[in-house]
Amino acid sequence: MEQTRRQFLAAAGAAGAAVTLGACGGGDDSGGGGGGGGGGGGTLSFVTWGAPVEIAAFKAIIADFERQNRGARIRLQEVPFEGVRQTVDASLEAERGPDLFRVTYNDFGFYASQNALVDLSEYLPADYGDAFTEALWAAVQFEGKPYGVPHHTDVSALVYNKELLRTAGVTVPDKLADAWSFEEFMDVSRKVRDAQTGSRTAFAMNWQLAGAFRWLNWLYAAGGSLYNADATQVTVDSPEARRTLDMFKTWFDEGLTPRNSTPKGAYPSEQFPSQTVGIISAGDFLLPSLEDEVKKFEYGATFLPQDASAATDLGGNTVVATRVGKQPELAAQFLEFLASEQSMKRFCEQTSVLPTRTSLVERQLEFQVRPDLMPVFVEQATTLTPEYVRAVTLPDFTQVNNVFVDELERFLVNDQSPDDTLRNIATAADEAIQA
Amino acid sequence: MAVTTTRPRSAVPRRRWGRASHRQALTAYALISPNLLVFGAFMFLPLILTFVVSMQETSGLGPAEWVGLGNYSELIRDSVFWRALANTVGYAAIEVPLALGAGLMVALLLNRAIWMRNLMRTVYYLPVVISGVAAGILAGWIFSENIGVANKALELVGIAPVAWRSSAAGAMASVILTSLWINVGFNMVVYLAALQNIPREYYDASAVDGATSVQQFRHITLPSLSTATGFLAIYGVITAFHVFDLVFILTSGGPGNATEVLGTYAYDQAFDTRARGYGAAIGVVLYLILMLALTVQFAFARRHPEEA
Repeated sequence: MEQTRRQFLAAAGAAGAAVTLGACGGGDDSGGGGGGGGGGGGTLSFVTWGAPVEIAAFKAIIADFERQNRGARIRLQEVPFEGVRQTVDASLEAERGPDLFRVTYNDFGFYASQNALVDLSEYLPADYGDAFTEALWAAVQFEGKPYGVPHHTDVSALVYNKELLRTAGVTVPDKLADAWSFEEFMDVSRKVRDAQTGSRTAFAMNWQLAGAFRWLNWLYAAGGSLYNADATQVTVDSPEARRTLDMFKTWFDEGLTPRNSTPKGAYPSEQFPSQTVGIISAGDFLLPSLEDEVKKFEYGATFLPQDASAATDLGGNTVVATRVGKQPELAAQFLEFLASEQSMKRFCEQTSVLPTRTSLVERQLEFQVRPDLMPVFVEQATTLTPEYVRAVTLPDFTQVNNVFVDELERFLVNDQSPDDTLRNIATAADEAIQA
Repeated sequence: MAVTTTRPRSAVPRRRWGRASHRQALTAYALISPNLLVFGAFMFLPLILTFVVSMQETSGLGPAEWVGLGNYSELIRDSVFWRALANTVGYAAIEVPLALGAGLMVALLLNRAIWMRNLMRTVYYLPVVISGVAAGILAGWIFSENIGVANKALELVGIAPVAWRSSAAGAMASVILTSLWINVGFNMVVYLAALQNIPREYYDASAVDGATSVQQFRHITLPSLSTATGFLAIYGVITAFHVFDLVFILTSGGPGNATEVLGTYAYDQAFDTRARGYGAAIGVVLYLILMLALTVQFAFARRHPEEA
């Protein structure tokens, strides 16, 4: 009997561990609250994820800030991108910081709507927003007030294997106006597929998990939309959306894209260096890692296909200060420094991302990685529309994005009908604006 | 006065025994209190809180709304939940017997005096100490459809590549194969210990009676391992129902919902979708299923103590 009781306790404990899922945040806290320091200084915790070049750039900017603000200290806490949301949520739930964190524009609205962020209008000059591009300044607003600084943006364009496309006899457009139409892109994909051997295919999308919303690039280019212009009505269930889904299906049916290039599947950045695909949709922020991994062939960049219009996604991140932080003034001071012209220029040049300050957008930056390709992304960024930005920065957009993952996966893998797919997406999109 | 003289003789020893028992109990509680505190703080308290959260609609931040059994009634209508439940049961039904069989086979082989036996035991046990996340990342590379060594190896022997990530069967197979790699070592160690506890005399006596190796295995080894098998089966089922990190890293529950299990679905709902209450409700259901399974197991063990 004693043996049985012990076994039972062990088993009950083990079973209980599963249930703790619902009660744990899944990440360590940031050690937070911003406590410490006094007078003009103090310590702030800053949670971020980042590629090595991004972390190095953050550290350099932090060092500059600390030099210029005696007594101020920014403690950088690096977490993987996959775990940053859980880390921040758990810390905020426990009211233990962090003081600052990096967040995607898509997820920003959630924190702002939950009253978790510092309203920066109290600390920033009234005309502060005039220095930024309108769409990106709008991306850090909630109910007309700024809750973050638009640190940088990045957009998707096409990255291609030069030799493979040459072999396939494909000429690549070098101007935005000459970007391939959908039909032309399908023809190009077929040629690239035919020029490949074995199970290699033509093209892979970057719509995995948090990036599932990038299917909207194709929807908006087809002339469709998720919402109307002021995001008060869902418009996704449309002929343009059906046409877009139909094209996605054709990619898979004709073997133009790897079977595992689904929203829950493999990332194109894994497939491109191994030459499994010849063309990928990729954000400019991927260039440093591609430069490290692609050694056997030359690659170039061109514009995303366009149809009724051109479109690209709102990538990039804002940095925000939390209400649980004890030193909002110092936090706002750091944010202003981080988004200053000098710091932004430095960060963008080092990490291959795009600036949000109009003064920098209009200038030629000296990008350290593949400066020859960056102009494509800079020009592609001009196709980002305020309507697109408004849609993907709704407070509940994260939930909509999760529905994109599930519904596109069902459509592409489980043969769910376009009608059901669009109806389910429309329902989630509607809930996001009713919330 | 008569009362004092007629006090039962047994009263004094009983009181002495009571004091001793009390002291023993206090000592016992003092000794287990650190563990009890940890267990209470990190197991029972979260368990109770999870039940509470499962009755709420909350994103974690901001106010929570009390919805009673609303999350549970929504679960009943949720086809993904049923798919995740079926996948979890299916995974356990396939993985646990395979891990038991493979563990036993390896233990039988490594119980003999073979060359480099200790090294082989270490090699088989090594995956047990690797975290599920690390195993998932490794398996992700091995079973990559584009660059994985699994398909390269199959191609070398003339077998068509398997769609490890893009087909439901392939993805579930990759999860099961990886978890076998992780779990066989533990089963092997338990079986090895059990094998070494079987008295040698049983085999000698049966050999004298003319028993073959197969008969010895059937009538001596297997029955002697029933306790170990029972323990490993329970442990295996519990572990299988808990599977999370491996699936989360290796397949993200895909393709579609082909490898979605209760653990990953609870996580997805609680932390990705930020439906904390709904995720907690899935966790509670998982807990109740395990408790039910354990109750059945204990009832069986009480009726058949020799099998337990």
